[in-house]
Amino acid sequence: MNLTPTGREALDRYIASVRRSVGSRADVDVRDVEAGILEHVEAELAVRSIELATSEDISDVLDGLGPPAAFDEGRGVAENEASQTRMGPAASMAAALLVAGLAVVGAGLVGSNMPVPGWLALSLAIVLARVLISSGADHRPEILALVIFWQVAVAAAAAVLLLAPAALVWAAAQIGGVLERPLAAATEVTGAGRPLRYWIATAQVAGAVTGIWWMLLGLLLLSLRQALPRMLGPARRLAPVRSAPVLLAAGGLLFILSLIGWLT
Amino acid sequence: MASPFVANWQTQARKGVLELAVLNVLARGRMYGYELAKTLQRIPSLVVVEGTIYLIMSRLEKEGLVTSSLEASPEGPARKYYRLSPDGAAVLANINSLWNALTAGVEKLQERSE
Repeated sequence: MNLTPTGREALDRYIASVRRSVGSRADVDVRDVEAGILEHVEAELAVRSIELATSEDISDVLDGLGPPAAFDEGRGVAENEASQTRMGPAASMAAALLVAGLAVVGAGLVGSNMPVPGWLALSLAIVLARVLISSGADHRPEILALVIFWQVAVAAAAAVLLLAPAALVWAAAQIGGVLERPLAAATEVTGAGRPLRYWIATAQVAGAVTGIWWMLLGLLLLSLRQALPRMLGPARRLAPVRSAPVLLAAGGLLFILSLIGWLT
Repeated sequence: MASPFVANWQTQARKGVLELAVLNVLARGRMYGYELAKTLQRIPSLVVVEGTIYLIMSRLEKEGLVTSSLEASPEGPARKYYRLSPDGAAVLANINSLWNALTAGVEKLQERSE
């Protein structure tokens, strides 16, 4: 599909609007909807024999598809009815899960001086919210869906902010602790003094280990690039999948630099 | 111009009928999204927003009522063809008979009121 820059912009705006409108729904796959729309636009341009589509051409085709907010005609009314008639055990369980999820997010944040329980609590909050979204699928009122979305988003953001830096330096800290004594012995450190060569050797070992660790993390994220966004549901935009190539490259660079430093 | 009541009624009626229409079209054979949208567009008042078709197809596929496959197209990029699954055929038979009973009953009521 050949588009002018403004045509591409118009199409991208529309697709982003589709994602906003449909993205949080459990009963449809937004990627399928996007792919269908792109296929439709392409077919329509071919029928009209348009070789290079301008923003006017794209707007004309998209007018036929209609505004994304109107894709699911009648759903709003049906859901309002559902919310009035289905506030039974399922809705109560969903609400209880929501409160539990929020509570563990709070516990995770408060318990930052106890990292392991805090991290576990944050992970549990994400899992709980995901279960809630799946179990609530077609029945939840819009306001609950919004609260769930923010719960997942906050939990994921907190997890990324707290866990990511810790995960990035974890290997270096662990290896540093294990290697401290042998390094001190190898660099002939005696007593409390630490000569410069000790710090250089420590930095080189820590750099090499951290480089390998980052590459492993990058490979892990790459292997999870399909599963991770699905697992995180509406918070998938916060998923650190895009950082995988950066992590791989940074890890490789750090490892090579440390190796060069070591050899010279 | 239709009153808000009629417009709302039409929206509600269209929602279920559109799914029924999609399944019936696919019962005649496989079809790709654009072709399906244009086929349904020919039925007056059935499709107001063509984008709705893609939402319905995703939902039906997730429900296992249709299957899809990408197939090469002589006119450009590959097309996603939809087919009715065995589950979809069973559901279609069920809702077709519900639809027939419903329309027959309503038609009788209309005859009496005329």
